[in-house]
Amino acid sequence: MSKVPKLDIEYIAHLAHLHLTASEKKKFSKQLSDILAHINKLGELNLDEVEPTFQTTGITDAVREDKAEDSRVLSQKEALSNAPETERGFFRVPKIL
Amino acid sequence: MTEITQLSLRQLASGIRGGRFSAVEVLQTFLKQIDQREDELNAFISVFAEEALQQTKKAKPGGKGKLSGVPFALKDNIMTKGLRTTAGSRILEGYTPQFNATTASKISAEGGIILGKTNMDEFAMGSSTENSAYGVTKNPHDLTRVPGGSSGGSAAAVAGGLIPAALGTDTGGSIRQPAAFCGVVGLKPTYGAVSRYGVIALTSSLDQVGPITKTVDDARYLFEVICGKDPYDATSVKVNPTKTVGIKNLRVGLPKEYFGEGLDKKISGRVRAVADFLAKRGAQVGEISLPHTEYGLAVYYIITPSEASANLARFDGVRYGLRIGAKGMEELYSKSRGAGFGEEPKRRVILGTFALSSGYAEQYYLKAARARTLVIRDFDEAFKSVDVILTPTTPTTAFKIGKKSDPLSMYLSDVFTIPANLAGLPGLTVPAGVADGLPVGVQLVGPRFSEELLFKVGEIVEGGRWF
Repeated sequence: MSKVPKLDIEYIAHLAHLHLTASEKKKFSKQLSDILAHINKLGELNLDEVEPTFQTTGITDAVREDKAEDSRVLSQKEALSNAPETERGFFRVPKIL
Repeated sequence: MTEITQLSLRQLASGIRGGRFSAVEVLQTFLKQIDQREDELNAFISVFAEEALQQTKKAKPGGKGKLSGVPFALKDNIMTKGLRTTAGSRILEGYTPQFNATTASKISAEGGIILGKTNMDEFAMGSSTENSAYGVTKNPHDLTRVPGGSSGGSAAAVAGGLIPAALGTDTGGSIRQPAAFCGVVGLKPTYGAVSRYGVIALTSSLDQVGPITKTVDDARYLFEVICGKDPYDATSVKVNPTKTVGIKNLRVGLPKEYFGEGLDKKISGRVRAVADFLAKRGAQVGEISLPHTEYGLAVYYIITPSEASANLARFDGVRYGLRIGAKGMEELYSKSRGAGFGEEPKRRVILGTFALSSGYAEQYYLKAARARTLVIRDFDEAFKSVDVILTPTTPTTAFKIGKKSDPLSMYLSDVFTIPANLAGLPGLTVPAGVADGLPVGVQLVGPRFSEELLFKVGEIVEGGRWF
């Protein structure tokens, strides 16, 4: 982590399914290098023996019975109510195949 | 009836129940306040005056709920069934939730009336409420300054007297920083204490919902309504309060790392005045060390964009939200997201996607998760010798609108609030006077589930007549 890697913004934007304009790409490249330079501070720490933390509740295996809860099941009409485009009770999207 | 705007939540609820004034009178008082001040403050994205009036009229006088007939505002990333919810983003323009967040349901179940949804930085990404697709919110103490963020609308609405109390969300300081900038009280509860079901997620391992109120007791009253384990949120837990201690036995720690470069001297002076005040009342106040404080911001700015980039993947133009017509799916996703997201979400999606991408995930995300453990250990160590930690809430008072244009300097305004999120600890900000005419907040951080202790100490600080 000693060096700030070059951020391939085209590739990252592709992975994120996010269209960026040419000026956004330029602006973000510069800003993100600055942020990454700050983040590189973590390189000062010896972390090899430290366990990572992903959550702080200590909960493991939060499970419930595998049963539909009618109280919060949306009707088909409700589920589709915010969709930009629907057809015969389905979400409509451009042709995939 | 201007006095209604001065009443506490308990007084409002009991006043309505006892018939001292009606719920409709209360609602109309606040609607009038909104009428007078909303144009200049822009604290709300939506005000549901008609719906709220209908609901208030329907409510039975003498209803038993703890919040019977009292109007509330929720930050606009908290889902409200049938009432539009935008998260401050253009991508959710026109979105109407089909269900309620648990926190919204709990307020309604106690008789509270949801009057409006407050402005916020888009998807809660920001510290100034300037990154909203619905305009900038102004600080009621000085209209040329930001209210803080991302729950800036909630803080400005409470501080401006537009609503008795509001909910915000806090991922790295988004309740506490705006509450401090606006001179009100804000609580970021223990991670897991309050359900996040129906809250539009930013950083799932850090996000919490909490109250923004005029007084510490109001924060307690509202926290008690919204907390508790929720079967709909697998990360929520049963609240198991720690024992409180009296002021004579209270041990208060001032972390020396918080008083270095970057902290406004006048704010440092206010915090020390609060420390002296507590010491005079019998508390033992001493310096402590949280040695990994300086790494907190770096950890946060890996973890937050990483989790956010995953959480924001759901906005794809298919099931809800903005869609830009396109030939294929790839183009539909990418153009809809490109047109719907503002600058800060885009920046964080890119940063987070990078930090999680093949070849970098270990170097960035995993390293941050390991460093997060060190931040947590600092607190564990500190709470062996103190009951609460007293810090400044923010390094500066409210800054001028448009002043912080580079993202890193904006991120630095959360440097004192981020560690409590990383460690899952409760943090309470309480007003402690002014510096150059602008409100200053002090922050109390305690062990997990020490909210009641924070409220008790917060009430002592509140009694200090700092103004």
